[in-house]
Amino acid sequence: MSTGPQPGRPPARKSVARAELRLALPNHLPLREVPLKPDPLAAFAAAVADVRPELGEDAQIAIDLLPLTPARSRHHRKRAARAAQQPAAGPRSLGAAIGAQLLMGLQATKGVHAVSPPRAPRPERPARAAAAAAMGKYTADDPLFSIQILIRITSDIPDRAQAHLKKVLSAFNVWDGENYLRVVGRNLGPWHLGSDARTRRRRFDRRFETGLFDPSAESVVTGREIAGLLKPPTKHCAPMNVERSGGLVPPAPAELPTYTVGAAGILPLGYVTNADGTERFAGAPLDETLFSLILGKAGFGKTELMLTQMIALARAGYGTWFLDPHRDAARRAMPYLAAPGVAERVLDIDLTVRRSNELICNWNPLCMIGRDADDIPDVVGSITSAFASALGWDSTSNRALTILSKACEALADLSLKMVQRGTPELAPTIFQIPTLLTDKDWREAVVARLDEQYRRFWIHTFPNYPTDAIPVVTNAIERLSTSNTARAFLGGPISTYDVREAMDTGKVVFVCPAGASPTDRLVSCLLIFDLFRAGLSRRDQRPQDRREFYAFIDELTAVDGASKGTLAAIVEQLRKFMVRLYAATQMAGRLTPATRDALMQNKSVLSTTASEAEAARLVARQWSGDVEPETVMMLPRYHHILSVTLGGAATTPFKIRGAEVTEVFAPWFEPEGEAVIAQHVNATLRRRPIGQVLVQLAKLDERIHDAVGRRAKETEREDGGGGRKRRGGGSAATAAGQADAPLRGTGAPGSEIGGSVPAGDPAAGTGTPGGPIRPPAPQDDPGDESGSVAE
Amino acid sequence: MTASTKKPSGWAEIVGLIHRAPKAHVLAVELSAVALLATTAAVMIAVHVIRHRKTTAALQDRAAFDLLPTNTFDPTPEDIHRFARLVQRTRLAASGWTPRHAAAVRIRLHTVEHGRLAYRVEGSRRAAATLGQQAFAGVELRAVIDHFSNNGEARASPDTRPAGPGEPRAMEDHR
Repeated sequence: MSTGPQPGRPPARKSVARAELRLALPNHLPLREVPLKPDPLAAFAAAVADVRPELGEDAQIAIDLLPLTPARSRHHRKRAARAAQQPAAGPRSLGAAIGAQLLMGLQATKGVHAVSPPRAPRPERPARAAAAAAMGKYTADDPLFSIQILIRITSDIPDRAQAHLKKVLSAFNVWDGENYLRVVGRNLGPWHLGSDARTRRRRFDRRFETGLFDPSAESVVTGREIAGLLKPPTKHCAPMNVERSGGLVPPAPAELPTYTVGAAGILPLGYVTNADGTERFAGAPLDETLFSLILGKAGFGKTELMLTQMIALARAGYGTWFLDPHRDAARRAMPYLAAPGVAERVLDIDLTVRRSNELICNWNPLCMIGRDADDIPDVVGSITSAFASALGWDSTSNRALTILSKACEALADLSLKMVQRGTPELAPTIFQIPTLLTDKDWREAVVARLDEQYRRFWIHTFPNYPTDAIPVVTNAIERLSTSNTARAFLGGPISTYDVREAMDTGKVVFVCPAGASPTDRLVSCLLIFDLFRAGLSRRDQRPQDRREFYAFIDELTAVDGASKGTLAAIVEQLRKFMVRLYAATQMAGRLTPATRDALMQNKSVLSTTASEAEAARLVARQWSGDVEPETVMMLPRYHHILSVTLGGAATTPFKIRGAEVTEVFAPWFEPEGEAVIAQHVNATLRRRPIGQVLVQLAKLDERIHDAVGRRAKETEREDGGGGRKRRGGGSAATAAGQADAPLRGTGAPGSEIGGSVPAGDPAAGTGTPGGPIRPPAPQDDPGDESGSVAE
Repeated sequence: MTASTKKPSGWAEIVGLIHRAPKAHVLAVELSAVALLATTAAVMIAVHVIRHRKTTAALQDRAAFDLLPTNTFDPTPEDIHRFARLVQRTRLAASGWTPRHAAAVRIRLHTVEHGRLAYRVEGSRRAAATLGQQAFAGVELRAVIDHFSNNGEARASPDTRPAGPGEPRAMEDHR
């Protein structure tokens, strides 16, 4: 068993140790019957525990079993019977014979009988017992095998292979009994001529590598003798270095469709293993996948799975909406979406930009272009739900919620009036909420223009609130306004992004907040609840006209927050309006019970990666014990267990290996995809420099005040000087009459609308074609062009 | 005549008869013996070559299954006996076509990453259906793909094979 460089397969310079084992004594003598507790394989696990693959080490034990044919089995049984019938054999070696003679001589000198005393007559055995005894270990019910045991250890470090080999050989000692296993070879003094000898290596390696059964000597064992080897390590195998299954999961249904790149109507899932060990890329029928919930730890493949599905759907022509904090996923997806017909549909809402010269689109949640007074409650509801979820307002924050609702209501009404009067560039944004709450003059001027149903609160209720009720609302918005990006995105009076239009025209939307700060979370919540609002607004469409739209939202817990039951209600209703929510969350336990129940009730796909104990138990309960919670907890990275809806019923859970975007969609890769898409997005979303939007926002309060104030003054003049007094605390009837009068923009005439796109912007002069909502281009005060705003 | 009908009683007489026989007869006997020997040798060589080829072919077409036990796997002696019988049946499954030298089932205990001990069962492709049966409750049976290819280089080490089903693959860090 000397070590040395190998002639063939093993790489040069590797230290290799080989050994072959065979039965040391005649075959009919049994090995020790080793109990199963503790597991005999524990000795092998302990022996290889120190094998370090990073050092090029590898230990392999090949136990080849050739089942004996019935004829060969009979032959061995007969030989065993003959061996049992023969008288006890004499000494087997010359040394033993001499020893026996010496013993006899010694007994003679001591006066003992020089010959062995006559033995006591053996009791007669029944014929059957005698026959069984004669068979030795060969019982009729035990299969016989010819065995060949080959051990090969390799290591980059000299002598370590030999050390490992000795440990492995010692693990076979537990079988030592009447018979035992010995290493094949001859001892020549201090040397051993074994399987590592130059003359034997080639034959050993050939057998080892090919599975050739050609042992150096025939060794026959029974199944019972080697029971400890005829099973994988059991629970009684104490060493931890055993390769185990994470748990048993039923196989994937054979009727699960196979996804091919570019196929429509199938939602890609991942690779499932067929019965023959091959893999295929499985998918789920899209028309049966109305709502998908993915659970599991961060970094275990949730986002990759959602990104794969989003790209597949976008390329198949469906509208998608993907919330992507940090913008990593969007950057990875863009190169696969740059093809003609797809790139034009991409809307990239990039909120990771920071510098004043970087471009950004505008979205005003209070923009009422294309809406009417009946939409105000929905707009208010989505904004307050977003604030409540992001800020954790619950039932104890009733006053703050009321103030915010009423403020949004008032500003939405004002915004509607601005649109109706042809000055949408003077529509208030959510940054006018603090102004409304804290600037009395401004509030009085605005309230005077509201419909009576909205004005009453401000006249009768709001003045009675203590002053400390206001900061709860204003603080949140003030914090939001500390971010130039958020101010620029939400501070433009006219929205260039409209999710309802995106839904109806099959757009591919990426929403990329900068991170997960409270400000980013608030922006995300505003966008998500706006998506929900837009989905529910499809009630004005005929069912057959509703185009499928797939929204992917990671970390649903951030949206659930404290708005009790809101998310649950939305999830239950959205599917009716063909908005299909594919959501993911790390901690299902943190969702409110109402939301959790709604998600579980409505899911078409339930998927989980490895997760913590409570979440694992939660999801295992959904599968009625088909999968143990421990199995879920021990899932390796990028593996999922999931059940889908197939033929109207949920499948049993099965395991998939997550696919990589780069691997699946490699044929679609366009290195310059992001730049190509950016050009289209600049045109579609009419992006403007952040600095330009901020300059405009800085003057918006004043311009709104001027607009509503000038009208008030005109009214005052018409009424003989009583207008101002009425505006502050006058009767509702008078104020209502004022509201009917047309407002006039003071900052810019309507003819200037659309002149705000910066020079060189490819979006200049373009609009959103064919959509049901066509907001005019954001107004830009020419006087603002010269101003620069520091970041 | 009487001398010619008398049977030879020993080797000496046979040698004497041959010596006295006509040369043509002696040559015919010698040629017959040589032909017999040559035929026997040719048959033996042909059998050996055919068997060698069939053995080599069978060894190049093998199937392998990883048996991954769960933490709670605790087989009874009866479970193990049934697995032994299953291994025994592989010989019948491949009988008639698989030479004896290629008919063995290999139980391979080998190390994988981090020095973990793995358990694998390998056998003739013809016996794959038998070996691929779920013999133990609490053990995940995972077929190994492309473990045995036509290229002998790929056959030596289980660790050189491509990642099998269910095995984590190296993925990019950005995930």
